[in-house]
Amino acid sequence: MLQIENYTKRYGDFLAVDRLDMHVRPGTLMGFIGHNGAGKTTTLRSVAGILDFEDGTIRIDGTDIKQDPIRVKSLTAFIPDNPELYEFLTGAEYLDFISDVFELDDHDRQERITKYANSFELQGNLSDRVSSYSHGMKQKLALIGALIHEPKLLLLDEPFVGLDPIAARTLRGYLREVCDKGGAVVFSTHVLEVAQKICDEIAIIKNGRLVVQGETQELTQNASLEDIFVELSESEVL
Amino acid sequence: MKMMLRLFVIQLKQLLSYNTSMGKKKRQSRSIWLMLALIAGLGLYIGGIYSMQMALAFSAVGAPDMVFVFMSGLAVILSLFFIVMGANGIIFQAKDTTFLLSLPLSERKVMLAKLSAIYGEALLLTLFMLAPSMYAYTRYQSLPVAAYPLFLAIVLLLPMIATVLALIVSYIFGLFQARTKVSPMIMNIIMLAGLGGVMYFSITMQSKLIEGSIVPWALPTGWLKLAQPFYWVRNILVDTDMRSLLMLALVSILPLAAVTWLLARRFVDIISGMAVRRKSSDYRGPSGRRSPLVALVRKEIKQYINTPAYFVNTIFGPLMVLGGSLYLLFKPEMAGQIEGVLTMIGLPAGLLVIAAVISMFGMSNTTAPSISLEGSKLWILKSLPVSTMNVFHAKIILNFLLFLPPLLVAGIVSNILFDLTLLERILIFVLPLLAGLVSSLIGLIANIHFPKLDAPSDTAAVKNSASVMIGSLGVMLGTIALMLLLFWLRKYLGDHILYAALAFYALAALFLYRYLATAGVKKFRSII
Repeated sequence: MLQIENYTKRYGDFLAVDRLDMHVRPGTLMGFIGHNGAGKTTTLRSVAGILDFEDGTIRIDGTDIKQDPIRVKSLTAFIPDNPELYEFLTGAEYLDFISDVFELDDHDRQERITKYANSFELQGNLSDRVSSYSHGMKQKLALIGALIHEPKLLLLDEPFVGLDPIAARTLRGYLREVCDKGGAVVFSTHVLEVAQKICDEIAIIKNGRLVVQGETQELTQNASLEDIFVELSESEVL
Repeated sequence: MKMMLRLFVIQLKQLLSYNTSMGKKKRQSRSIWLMLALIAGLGLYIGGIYSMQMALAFSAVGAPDMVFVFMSGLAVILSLFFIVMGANGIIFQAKDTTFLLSLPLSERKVMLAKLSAIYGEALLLTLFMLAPSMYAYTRYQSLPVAAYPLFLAIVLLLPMIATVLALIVSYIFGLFQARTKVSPMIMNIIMLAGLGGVMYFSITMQSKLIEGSIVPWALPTGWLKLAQPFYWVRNILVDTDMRSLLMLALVSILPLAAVTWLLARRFVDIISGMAVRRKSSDYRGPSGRRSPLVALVRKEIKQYINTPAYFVNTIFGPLMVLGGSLYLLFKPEMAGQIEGVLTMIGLPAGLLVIAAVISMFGMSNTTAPSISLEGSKLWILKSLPVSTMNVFHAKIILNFLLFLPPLLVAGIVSNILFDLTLLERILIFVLPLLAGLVSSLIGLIANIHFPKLDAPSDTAAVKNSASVMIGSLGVMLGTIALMLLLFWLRKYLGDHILYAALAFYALAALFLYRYLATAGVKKFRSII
């Protein structure tokens, strides 16, 4: 589903990500883990087509993001760690805007918006302006906007921050649903217990380089992911 | 005191910071000075043009001193329009209020620093708008030496009136914003009514002066009594009347002191009161399916209508064109008079109408702050499956939607009222259309190169950015320069100058569009 090869990103003289290789198969729920500034957000943003990069290739469903960014973006959905949304729109108007851009027909958009808004308990707030939403409500609205066009690849940066426990549980269910339908999910998180519990695979990044990637069970071998992460962070692997 | 000064500087920076300086202190500091210089330049430009024109008009009826009444009134009104969004942005809807109030600072200090920044901006604009009136007056009459220090006192006092009015308007707007969905429209209506009032006042006063039915130096009566403080300005400067100075000081200082006292006592209560939530209702289904481009255009329109600073900053030009056209339609004898004067000085009416419409559209550049307004929401557009050019097209289409209706009205009215050649009848539509496209492209390209994605508020993105200065003031000055050049070339090219103008705008539009589609797209992709 996602193939990243030799991906390199610089901010001026600062090397943010260095020759990263990462493959995510269809049906995989992957946790992307690393310390602050390790390069997780940068990588996710480049995969989402938001951030240009100097070297390497990123392919989604076989399509190079630099060759056909519009097709790639029609297959993906991205949510940043702090999703700022159009405050001049109501929740419903925002979702209609997203539906228009993804060319969803009336029936699908009505059905999906109702379904996801009910699940995330946002149905009663959709006619309010986004400017009146709390951080968690904005996060839920962004998630609905990401899910309604049924993306093949879902990219989420710290998706559980700001969500109430019920919404977090609902989200976990939908992430699994995307994978069960043959899609894939890559999300960054600092909540290692959650990552260990729900992820099929884990990728750990340190100082812009991939330290390890593998199946969660194989990687942790009944130890805690937190211990593995601390051990790798303190070691001189790179 | 030191803390107050620091808070004041931070708030002023918030109002004035003009580009994404990536945290480089030296550049940021330079940019603030540049912004101050740009505001001063804008004040000088408006003050200079109006002072010279009004001094000439008033001296013709033997009352050049009325220039002080007119210009001080104009300075207060324009300062009010300039700072009212800032007042809303940094006092009532400020993003940093929660942070500042969580610091060990009294709410009074926080509020006073914010208030001082707004007053400071009004002061700067007033100073540079009023200064040319002193020069304009002395072209016809001399001023007593004492008038110069008294002028400084006036410059300190008048912005207080604008500040109080701005606080009241932005407070009312803030209340509506918290409680209704139509709040931005209400703010737009308030601002439009204000602008309409200024336009009506200017037009009726000028026509009454021409008719001789107004005695400008007489004491104000009726609704003109509201302008009494501005008559005091005249008395202070021309007669060095200390009683008028005292009265002006009272009407300036007392209301500001009262509003400041009230705000200082109840700042947290007022801010909290604005956070009241509205009632909610459920999703009622889509209002129809649209193409991605139409969806983008609708988003731009909603943003335009619901962002008062954006709306007010750009609506003036189209309104002037529309208002002026309708005025001429209902007073066709005025068109005859204008045509008569133009014939006398050998200027074709068609050229003047085209130049006027193009200049007005230069003031309605919606593309110049459009990327900055995306701000931290830019990730949405960038992650959607739409081409960068479609994003740009949507922004340009908004600009066209704004000036097409007034252009059609102005073109039809001019075709009816003026004696034009066939070429002029066509170009009266085509040239402003092309000029509008050029203006939109310049604004967009300027914003791509000078985005202000970290603006503390929409107001800061709309008002205080290099791209807006390039897109509006730059385009306006460029248009005036081009018109002067064409007027000079008329000696050599005759009526063919219209072809020269057509060729210029068509080539400029082609070049700029090509640049936007290549370097512009590349640059946009690098914006984060």
